[in-house]
Amino acid sequence: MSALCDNIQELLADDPSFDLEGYPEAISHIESCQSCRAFRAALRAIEGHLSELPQLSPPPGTIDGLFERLAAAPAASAAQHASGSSSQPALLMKDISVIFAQLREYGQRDDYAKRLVTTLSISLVFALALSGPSGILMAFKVVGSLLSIGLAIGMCFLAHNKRYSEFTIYSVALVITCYFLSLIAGGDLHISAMLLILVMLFAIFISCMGRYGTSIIFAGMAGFAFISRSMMSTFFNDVTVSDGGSIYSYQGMERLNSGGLSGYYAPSNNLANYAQAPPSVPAASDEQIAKWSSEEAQRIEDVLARQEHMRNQKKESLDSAPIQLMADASTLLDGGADPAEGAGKLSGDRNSKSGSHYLDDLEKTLGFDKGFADRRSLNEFAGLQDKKADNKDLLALAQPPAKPIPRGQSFPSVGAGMPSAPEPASPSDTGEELFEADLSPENEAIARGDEVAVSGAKRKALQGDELLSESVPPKEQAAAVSAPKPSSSISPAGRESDVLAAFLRTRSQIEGLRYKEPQGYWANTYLPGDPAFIALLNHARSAGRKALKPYVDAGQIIASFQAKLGMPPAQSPDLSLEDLAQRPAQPFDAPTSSALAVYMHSDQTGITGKSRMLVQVGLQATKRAGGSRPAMNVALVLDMRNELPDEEKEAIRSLVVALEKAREVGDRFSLTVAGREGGIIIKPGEFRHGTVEVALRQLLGSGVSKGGLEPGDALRSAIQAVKNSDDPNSPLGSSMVIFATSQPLQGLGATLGSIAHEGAVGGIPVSVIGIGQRAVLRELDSLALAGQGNRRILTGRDALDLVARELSSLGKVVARAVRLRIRLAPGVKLVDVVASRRLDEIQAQRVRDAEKSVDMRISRNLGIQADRGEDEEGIQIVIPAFHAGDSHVVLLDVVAPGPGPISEVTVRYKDLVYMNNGVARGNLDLGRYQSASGPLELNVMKNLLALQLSAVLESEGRRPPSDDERLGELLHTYSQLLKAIQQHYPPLRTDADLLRDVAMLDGYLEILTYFSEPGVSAETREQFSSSLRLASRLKVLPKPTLDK
Amino acid sequence: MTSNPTSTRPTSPAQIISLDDRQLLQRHLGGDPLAFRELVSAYRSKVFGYLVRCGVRNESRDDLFQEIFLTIHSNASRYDNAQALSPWIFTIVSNKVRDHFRSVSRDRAESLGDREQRAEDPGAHELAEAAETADWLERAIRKLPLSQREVVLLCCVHNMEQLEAARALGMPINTLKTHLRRARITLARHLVSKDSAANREVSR
Repeated sequence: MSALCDNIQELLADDPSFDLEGYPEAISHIESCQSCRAFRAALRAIEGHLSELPQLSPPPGTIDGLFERLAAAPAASAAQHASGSSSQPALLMKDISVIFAQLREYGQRDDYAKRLVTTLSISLVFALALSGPSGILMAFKVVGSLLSIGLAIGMCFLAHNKRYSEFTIYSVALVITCYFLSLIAGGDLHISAMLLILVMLFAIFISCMGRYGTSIIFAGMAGFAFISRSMMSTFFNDVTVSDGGSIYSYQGMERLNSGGLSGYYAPSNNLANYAQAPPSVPAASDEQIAKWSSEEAQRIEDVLARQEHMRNQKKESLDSAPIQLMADASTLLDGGADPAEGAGKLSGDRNSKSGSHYLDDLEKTLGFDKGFADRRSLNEFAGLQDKKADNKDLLALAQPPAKPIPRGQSFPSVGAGMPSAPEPASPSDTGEELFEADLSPENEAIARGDEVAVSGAKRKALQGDELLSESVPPKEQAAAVSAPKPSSSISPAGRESDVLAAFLRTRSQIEGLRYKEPQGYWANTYLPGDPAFIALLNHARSAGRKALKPYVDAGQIIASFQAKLGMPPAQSPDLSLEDLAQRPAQPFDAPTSSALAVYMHSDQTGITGKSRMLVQVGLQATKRAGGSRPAMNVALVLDMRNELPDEEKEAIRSLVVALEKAREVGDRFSLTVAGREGGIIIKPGEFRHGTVEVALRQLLGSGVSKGGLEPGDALRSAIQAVKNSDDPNSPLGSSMVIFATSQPLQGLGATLGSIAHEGAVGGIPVSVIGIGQRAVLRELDSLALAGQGNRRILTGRDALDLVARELSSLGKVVARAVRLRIRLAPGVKLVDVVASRRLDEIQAQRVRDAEKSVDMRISRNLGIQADRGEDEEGIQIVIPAFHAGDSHVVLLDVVAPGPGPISEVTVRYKDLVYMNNGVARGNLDLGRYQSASGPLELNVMKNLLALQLSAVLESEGRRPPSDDERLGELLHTYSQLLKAIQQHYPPLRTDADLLRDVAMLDGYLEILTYFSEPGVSAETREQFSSSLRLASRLKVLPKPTLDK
Repeated sequence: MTSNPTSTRPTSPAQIISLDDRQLLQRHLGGDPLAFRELVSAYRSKVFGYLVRCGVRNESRDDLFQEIFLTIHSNASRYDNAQALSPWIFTIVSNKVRDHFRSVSRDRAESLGDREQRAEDPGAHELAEAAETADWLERAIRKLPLSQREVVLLCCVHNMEQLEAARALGMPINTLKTHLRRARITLARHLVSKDSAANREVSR
């Protein structure tokens, strides 16, 4: 090929029509040159193919994830941008990005410009790091930053000209400038500034040497900036820094950071993160965050003032703040009934003072009456430090209750009164294998919408009567049983105080407890896609929401709740009370380099002696989905028993075509028909466009042939066909049967359910698709429940989306065979694992077998080395599959002998994102230092409350509707408890989860007031019970995604 | 494990972007909750296709896709309603893709890209069924340098005007033309050599 050809071809490539009109010589060359002719033909072919390349649609899960993330973002952000207002200084937000963009554009000119731009960018980052959010000293900071920028530019010139001696002088000048700047700007910030300067110098050198890209420098800068800030929090643990009028507690910051919350400044940022952590919780408004921040700042100032006061008194050994003293004293009081004995112990611990002297100091310092400390328990005392102004109300709590806590006001201790974990079922969304038996009669009944009798053991745990805990001393139990119902003369505030006191007393009680062995297998409580739950949701959505509407306006209640939080009111007209039940927000950061992360927290910030506490093991999955679906083996069964209307025929056509379009390499689809020309009409491997079109033409033509295959036989043969072609090396859940019908099953439900159940037990789940309006949802739900599959409804032309959703559900799983091993430190005793139960040997063996089976299968399929099969020491919980973006907590009620290590957890799992054996570890180690409960401690308590509330709703939802008064009392008591807790812990006063729960309980109470009147139908009562049960599950389980 | 973007033909009316798309962001800023959904619906295939063909790996693709629309969501107020929407969106897309590739080392990206490509290679039977040239073209596009790949995708696949594409990619129009010319030459020469190799095979 000549140079002329090269020129001609360049001309051709520049010409959109590839004709080169106006270049006659070139045209004549092309005519005579085979190479150029071929080139032109290739250009035309490529241009044509490029414009006809197919569009690629993202998987449905991606779009869902996007909208979940959008829902988590403040709804007002767009409006805020629109108005141009911003809570941050403009330099920090908008303008900087513009400056960076301009710098980047300029930097593309040549190498010198690139280096200059690099230096300027680094200086800007440096200036930003120094700026911080405060505005008062901004001017000083900006001036200093400009000076540092000037020096940095000079350094760039010097380095470029290899004048390294002058460069060094400039560097020293820059360091000094920045050092003084940091002193002016923020006191202790100088360490952070020094580190940043060092990094900056390093980056400039690298940039001038031209060895590394700008991106590395920026990444290094950002990393060091963050690390330096974090180091500050470590160096200055418990140091409070005043920066421009705001107070930041670095002790709190460190604790929150270690717990997974990001953000530099403890009060505002962390609260904001906390409020916005889960997508399901509406974001807090700026005003609320500001309010919380100001409350938190006020609280910190109060603590500081008390610290200063104590130091001024120059007490010996009082260097650790009065909170420590309170904790010591109250622990001693809890440990021994005799104050003198406790004082003696205290004296032994601190030789310089007697115990009683300490208590006197404590009372005097905090302004309480003499002898007050003798009557306090740890939790009550710790709560009082923030509430001096309210001590009159709280003092009432300090006295022993004048009468026993009424029966309705008793609270379950952890472990008792909790629902036993449901039989762990495989997540039907994923077609997961069974870890335990799933299709219990109870589940079947749920699908039928019937009231069911709960099995003995389960019922015992669920009964509201059992709420009096086994850990409560027999004496108190007896008193509670014989107690009269609360009189209406008790004021609401007083009653709330009683309820709260009872709750706190139960939580701090350590006498008379029965301990459990912290060994063996325990039931898994993470059940995404629980078929019974899905059936209940479908039932509620399809049948029940109208029955309660005359009694309570759920939409109004929800709107009122939303108004409290400053949210726009919900628009949906079909709201129900259970819509208010949501899982508590979990403040866990999603991991970015592994599928799962583990977090350990407690409801205590520290302990000084034998204490009862909650240990929370939190699991958080990455938001990244596990990837694409594997090749699938699917049999579609069409119910064509009778002549179908045209619109149903069209829907069936769209469903089959959608399945054909969704076919990928390796998929084995087949089509089986019940009714006309029944049987397998498209075999696995022949599901192609042409075959499908021919089959549809025959199927959807007019006329019904007699003697077709019965639906039961068709389903059975489809299951058998899938089994026959099932590849044992294929991933779990990749084989399934889809039964599609547009007609009522008319008595075939039981037969089909039985066959579907057999298929599910054999590893082939059966999903059900209802087509059109004639399909009976209850029948479909029952069948899907029996088949461990999904129930979906096809309406309109959403077949593509529906099929994609059904086939891609496997991609949601990010970890399989998740094994938690929780070990308690020596001396720590287990009261219970909340909401779980220890499995007997048979159940444990099934879990072992299933885990091993999954392990081996994943090893074969994905090459992840098998590593299971042996029991481990400690509490073992096996979770079959964990979904992307989800979180789960396991709560342990324990009694620890004192400060030190409490517990450690090891989580081993099959990481389906990074394709390896993942391990996450965490441990909990509590010191002696105690402070007021922070967001993490309160979160643990909220999780406990959620489990308790779920237990109550579950048990009451199953109770025969005859004891409305008792139910009302129970709901009322819980409502009061939640309100009292909100009042007791100021950060929880605007907590969305608690506000939501209170609104829901009050709504149920409002309905109950009508139940004493005649004329309430059985359907209404059934719907009420169903709503309670649904709310119970929604409170603790991830809500399944349902189709329209 | 194969990559499985659901393939659909660009004939669905819902996917044809109307001239009034620029109103979507205005409606979104005005508080219309459905506007952004419509925007996502209109652009999801284009954006996702751009990511796939740019060579963004499967495991990063979903995250990047979501980040792009989150950026669009949060920067909606910066959109100038007088300009076309598509270049503005693809400015964000191309910047995100470039940032992504910067964060991934070149060697790793290439090796993994090859591995992914092998994983996506269908068997012989499927190859026979597939549109051979289109498959080849998809692979050839991914082998182009990123700057040329971006230009080809915007100008040839998404049929964007060259001036708008230049604006979206933040480059002068002449630079864009140069990239486009080089990309066309590379692709055409590869196709010519591929065809001639096939002819030689047949003649034997």
